[in-house]
Amino acid sequence: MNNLDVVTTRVYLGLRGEFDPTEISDFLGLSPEKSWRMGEARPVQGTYSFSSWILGVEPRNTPILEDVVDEVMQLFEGKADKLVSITKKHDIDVVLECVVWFNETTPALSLRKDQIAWLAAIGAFLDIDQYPNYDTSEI
Amino acid sequence: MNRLAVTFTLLLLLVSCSQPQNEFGSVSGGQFGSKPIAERSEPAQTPKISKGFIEEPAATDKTAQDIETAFWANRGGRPCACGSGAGGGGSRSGGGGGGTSPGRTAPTPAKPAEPKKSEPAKPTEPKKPEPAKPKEDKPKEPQRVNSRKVSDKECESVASRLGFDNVHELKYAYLGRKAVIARFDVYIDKTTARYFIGDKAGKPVVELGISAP
Repeated sequence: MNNLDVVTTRVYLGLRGEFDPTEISDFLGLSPEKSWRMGEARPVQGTYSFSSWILGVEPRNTPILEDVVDEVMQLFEGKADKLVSITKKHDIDVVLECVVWFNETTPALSLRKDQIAWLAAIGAFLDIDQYPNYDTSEI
Repeated sequence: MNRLAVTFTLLLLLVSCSQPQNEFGSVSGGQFGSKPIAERSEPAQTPKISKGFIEEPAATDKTAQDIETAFWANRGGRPCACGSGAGGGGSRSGGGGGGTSPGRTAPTPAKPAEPKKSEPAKPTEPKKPEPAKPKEDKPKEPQRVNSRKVSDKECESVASRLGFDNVHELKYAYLGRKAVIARFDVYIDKTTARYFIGDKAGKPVVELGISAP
């Protein structure tokens, strides 16, 4: 199996809006993988136009999207109600970001009914960002 | 008696003279022949009725055309050269509704079709100029920059120059909170050599603030 056959998949739940990330962390009882506040400086130039709170799993070498989404769902197990209440309170946009890097082997981009139902329950939309012709050894 | 005989013979002559005018054969043939003639006339009428039924499908076709024209008229016109076609359909429906159906077709299927004909036929005529409007708007839309999509390696270098691990994080940080990240890519303006995030059509959305080395 060479690098051309590797499919790298990363999935995380992103909250975007105008809020204090620490409030989200305290309310959910989860620490984010990455977060910033609106108006904070970007790494090199400019400032962020929105607050962000991200929690997901590290990139996995698998072409099966369902498996990685399952891992993210486990992170937020039992938090759906809290997630809905806090996102409604601050008018936060919730997105399940799926980033897929691949080359010759194409990824299996499918979700089960229960996964789609979970997305609907927490009011999230799905975004699958694909990067074909990619040297996955760099990730 | 002679008078009686003469009058009787005269009556017989009169009767015999009058019978050949009705029919060429015998008297009985004329009487019994009237029924077959009537029967012949009936099948001669049934084709007329059948023609009426033939016209009715034609009438239903016209209503289907009217429905179709009304459908496209509500959607702002057909995608290709529908102005003349819609006008032709409207004129057909107008002629069919006024001329054929009320006189001949007493049967029920033609009558309920009439109000449908008259209603959609009228709105199609004033809506003829509508399809022309989007055609005028279309040439105004394309506003493209002389740009090209950046290769994956170049994308990574752009992301690292801006302090991000990969292109996805760069797009996530630079696009707005409502953005669907997958709909955007990194491009470079060929004239200015500056990078920007654009949609799938290459239309600039966010300027990245750096240029090619």
